[in-house]
Amino acid sequence: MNQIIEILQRVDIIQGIVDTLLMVVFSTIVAYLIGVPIGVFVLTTEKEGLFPNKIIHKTLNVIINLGRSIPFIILLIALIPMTRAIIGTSIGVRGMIIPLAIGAIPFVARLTEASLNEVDRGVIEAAKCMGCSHLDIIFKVYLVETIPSFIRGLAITLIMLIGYSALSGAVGGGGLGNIAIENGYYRFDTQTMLVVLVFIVIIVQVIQLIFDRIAKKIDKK
Amino acid sequence: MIKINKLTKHFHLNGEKIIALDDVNLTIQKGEIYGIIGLSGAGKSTLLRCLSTLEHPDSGSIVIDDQDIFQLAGNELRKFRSNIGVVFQGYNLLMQRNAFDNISFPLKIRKDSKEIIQKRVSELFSFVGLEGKQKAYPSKLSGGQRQRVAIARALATNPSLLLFDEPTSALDAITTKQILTLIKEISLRYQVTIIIITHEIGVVKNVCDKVAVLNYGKVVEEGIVDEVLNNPKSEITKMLLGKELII
Repeated sequence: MNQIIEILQRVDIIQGIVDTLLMVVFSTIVAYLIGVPIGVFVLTTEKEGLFPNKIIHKTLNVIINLGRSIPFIILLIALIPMTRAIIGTSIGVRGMIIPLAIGAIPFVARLTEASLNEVDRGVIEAAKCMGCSHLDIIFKVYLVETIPSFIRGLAITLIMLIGYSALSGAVGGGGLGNIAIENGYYRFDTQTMLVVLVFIVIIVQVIQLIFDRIAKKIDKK
Repeated sequence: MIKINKLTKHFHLNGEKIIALDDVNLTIQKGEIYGIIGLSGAGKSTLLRCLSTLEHPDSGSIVIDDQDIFQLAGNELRKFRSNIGVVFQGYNLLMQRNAFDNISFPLKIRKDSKEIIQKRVSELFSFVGLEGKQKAYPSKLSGGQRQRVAIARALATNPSLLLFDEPTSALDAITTKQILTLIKEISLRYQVTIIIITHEIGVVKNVCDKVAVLNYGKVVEEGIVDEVLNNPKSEITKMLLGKELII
């Protein structure tokens, strides 16, 4: 117990939590702003979709698969020059938002596509018969009918990005991952690393719990 | 008036050519309740999908009030569609919206004012007998109640044509009777032409004025219900009638 208190006094866990959450939340926002429209495009350009277009559909699919097959650590390093050019730094909390977001965009696009695909084709046809335009169908049918699965996907994305953000500690990212790697890996201080890990586990559990509750509450199906 | 001219449609299924509609010609007068009956695979659903413009035929046309519906596009098409109501076999309700929002949906799409929507939807709730269910979500409603929501939604825009796809196939005998009564009430109260797709001869007998019997995409018999059912000419009609006797 004393050891844990000593660790908590020596290491700024609170700052680590705040940094991790900042990185994760901002990169999630960016990833959703870009990933959701891509997911909508992938689904709506397929053969039976609202705007069938083989070329766009296939191109987007290839890009998403490419993005998803690059290991995150490699993406992280490859993006350093770009991050530096846009944000001004490639380390710390600010330096990690772009790589984390880019790492998550293809994932969010696929999640979105999968959610929208769950909407019964018959419901979309019914919407057409009620005089809906394509935009009506996207915004008032697809996106509304998939809100619960959107919330569940959000939890998955946040948790995945917590894992990615921990990884980013290895190349100068901030947050809990950085603390764990600096102490546990570079200084062989396993105890500190374990304490930090416990906090990461708690954050993950809390996020999953909260989002599960919200999804359950708003799902009327 | 609805004129279906030489409507033909085929599909490819596993490399095999399937003829869903084969030179279908029908004329349906304003205000009629018109039944289209046949076994599964007879092409009934394809015909209904053509009438709602969800499917385009290979050849032929459907002219509704002097308008060839397959020539419509963009705003004109949306306007046409909001002037027809479709009650789907699986209801196709919006699961994340309650009964009120489902029924008001086509009106909101048409951008009617809040007051008009409120008035129209309350009227529909009492007409289909769902008072007190405004806030209920479809998952909490019974099959018959969902069917009523679907019917109210189809009626919301005051359409001149109402299409029913197998309206009673998923309902028990008592609920079937209630829904058929409701369809008759709709016909009495609103100026609407009703087309019902079904495989149950009882539905045709109970509510329809006229009937067309479809088999392998062809209209094999057509006319006033009593005449067709009392004096069936085709084998398929006799079979459909016989099926009812067994039940």
